[in-house]
Amino acid sequence: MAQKQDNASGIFAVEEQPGEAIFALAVCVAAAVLVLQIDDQTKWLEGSSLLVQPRFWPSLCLAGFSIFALCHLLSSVARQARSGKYGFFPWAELSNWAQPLEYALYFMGYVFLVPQLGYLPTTLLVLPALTLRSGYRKGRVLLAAAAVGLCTVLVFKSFLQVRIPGGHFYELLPDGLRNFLILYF
Amino acid sequence: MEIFLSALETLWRLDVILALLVGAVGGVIIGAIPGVGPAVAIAILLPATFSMEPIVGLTMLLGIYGASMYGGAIPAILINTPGTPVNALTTYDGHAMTRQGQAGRALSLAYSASFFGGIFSVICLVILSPYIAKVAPLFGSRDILMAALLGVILVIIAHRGKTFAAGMLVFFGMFLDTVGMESVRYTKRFTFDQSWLLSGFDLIVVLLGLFALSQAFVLLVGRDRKTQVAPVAGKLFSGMAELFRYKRVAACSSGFGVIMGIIPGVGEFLAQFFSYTLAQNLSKEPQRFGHGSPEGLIASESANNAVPAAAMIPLLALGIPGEALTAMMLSVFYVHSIIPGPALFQTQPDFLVTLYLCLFLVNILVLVVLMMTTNTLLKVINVPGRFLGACILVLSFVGVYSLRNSIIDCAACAVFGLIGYILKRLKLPLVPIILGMVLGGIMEQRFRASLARIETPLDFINRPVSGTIFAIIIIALIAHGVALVRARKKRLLNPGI
Repeated sequence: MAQKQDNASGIFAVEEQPGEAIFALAVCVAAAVLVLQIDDQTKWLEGSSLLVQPRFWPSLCLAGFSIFALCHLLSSVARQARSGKYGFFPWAELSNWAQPLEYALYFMGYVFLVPQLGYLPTTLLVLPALTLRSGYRKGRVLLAAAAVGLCTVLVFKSFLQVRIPGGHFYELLPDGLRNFLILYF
Repeated sequence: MEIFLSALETLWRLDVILALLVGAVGGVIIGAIPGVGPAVAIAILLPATFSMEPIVGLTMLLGIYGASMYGGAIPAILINTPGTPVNALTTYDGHAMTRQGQAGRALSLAYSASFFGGIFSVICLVILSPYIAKVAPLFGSRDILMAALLGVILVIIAHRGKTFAAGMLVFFGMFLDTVGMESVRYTKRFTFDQSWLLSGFDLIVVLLGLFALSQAFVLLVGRDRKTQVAPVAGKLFSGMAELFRYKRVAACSSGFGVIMGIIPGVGEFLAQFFSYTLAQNLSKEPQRFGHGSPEGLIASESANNAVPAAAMIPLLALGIPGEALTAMMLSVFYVHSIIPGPALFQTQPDFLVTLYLCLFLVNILVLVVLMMTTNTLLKVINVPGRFLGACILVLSFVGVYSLRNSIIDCAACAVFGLIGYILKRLKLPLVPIILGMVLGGIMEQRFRASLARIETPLDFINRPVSGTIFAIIIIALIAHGVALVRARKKRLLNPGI
């Protein structure tokens, strides 16, 4: 949070962040790649005026994106050069950016497991496992995680009936139980 | 009168009452937990509301939106950590009062000011409605195009000190909206021959990634904070009487909140900033601001609570959301084939009156809940962050997977989650991406609709409304330029600033 000041302008205080120049550079490169692709990825219709071309609007957006990205890069580099606080490659910060990749993979694992095991069993498995991975070892916390998982399934699937299909695992169960689980869990 | 009675009848339904309760109580709890915030909660709940009737879904989401700002004041005052980003200024005076042993007084004042701001804006919405109903039909395609353009420009310039980044992110959002099959000539745009890109990026997938999943990542890789919160003593009702002593500050700040809420792309931050600065300038004790001034606390809380109802005005009247949360709510309208815009006031007045009554009731409910349960709510402030992150990750799945049971949507959501995480690390705003996506779509659609009547570019602004909005755009840009020059001069004169 911005350092507290006696007037309200403190909420707009901008502090230099490590890695902002490298991020701005990456965005500029992405913008340049997209601009280079515009010919391939959009159509130009012969005989139509510029404003009705399917290419017009994406070009406008990409032009704005590129110009602002370039300005952001220049201002970030200038700010960094002025302060000299962080290097162009603040490795510690870049490794911080990679940290959530592990959790993104867990998320995708959860996504792949639900259609196989079913929503309730997967949630009861994943939430306590994630809690364990986060460093909590007390049984009370793991139990709370399982309870939150159960409540999530009860609220969203059983009560609100959101569209989450039953798992393939449910097919192995006896008829009555299978239908019940597919419908509510 | 008939419309009012019909609205009351709708309000008396069990599902609407339940939505009101869930919105009010849930919103307060969500606001009180630092690190969640209404955007995360609304993004997660959004797909679940699609199966509800629009009034039920909107009541719940609006309840969460409004109530979270009340709840956000609790950690802002007690532990100097705003529960929602818009409670940032509340920490200035609220926490200072806590340090002086006046936590109860600060909370009571914050609740009262929030209630005043909330009710004030609902009253403004009701009073303005007949005029909006008259003015809104005057807006044609070119006028709505200009209003959306004004929104885009204000989003960019409202991010002081981050203008380039905000501009970059707005245009990135606008670009994201163009991906897929365009609906006029049916040509592909930036699909890279991938069939899953033909339908483009779903707003909800992007929302859930940027707001919910990224927050889950932030919490999961972060450390838990442990703070001791002492029970709050004193009468929480006493703030109402004290608020009356500062009625001018409360009224002016709420007024700012309403005006800033109506203007697309501006929102709570500028409302708070202007009202706080004005209150400080008008105060007999300006030196107390930032050191426990009741006026500062009132200014901040009444301004940000006046925004939610006012933000509904451009959404309902023109179909233009002013900030991220109303942009999310726009999806609820679209899913139920209710097109917000000029015709809504003519075709569904009872729906609108019900919505106003719900907003009114949410404020009363929240105040009652807070007065009775503040000490109980203190427990949620200390919910461990990483545990909360794991819960948000699991809840994000419901939101994104229930849309169309697509694993690709989930993968896209994870990618946007990672992008959101990096943006949060860099302290860059996420809202411009969402507003870019929504306003970009509206602008392209209105731009195409206008083309039939356009011969020269000047035709875009030759209508009274579009011309006026264009003039406002020019004035806003000039004012921004002047502010930048002044700030630069000030920096040169005082290099330490």
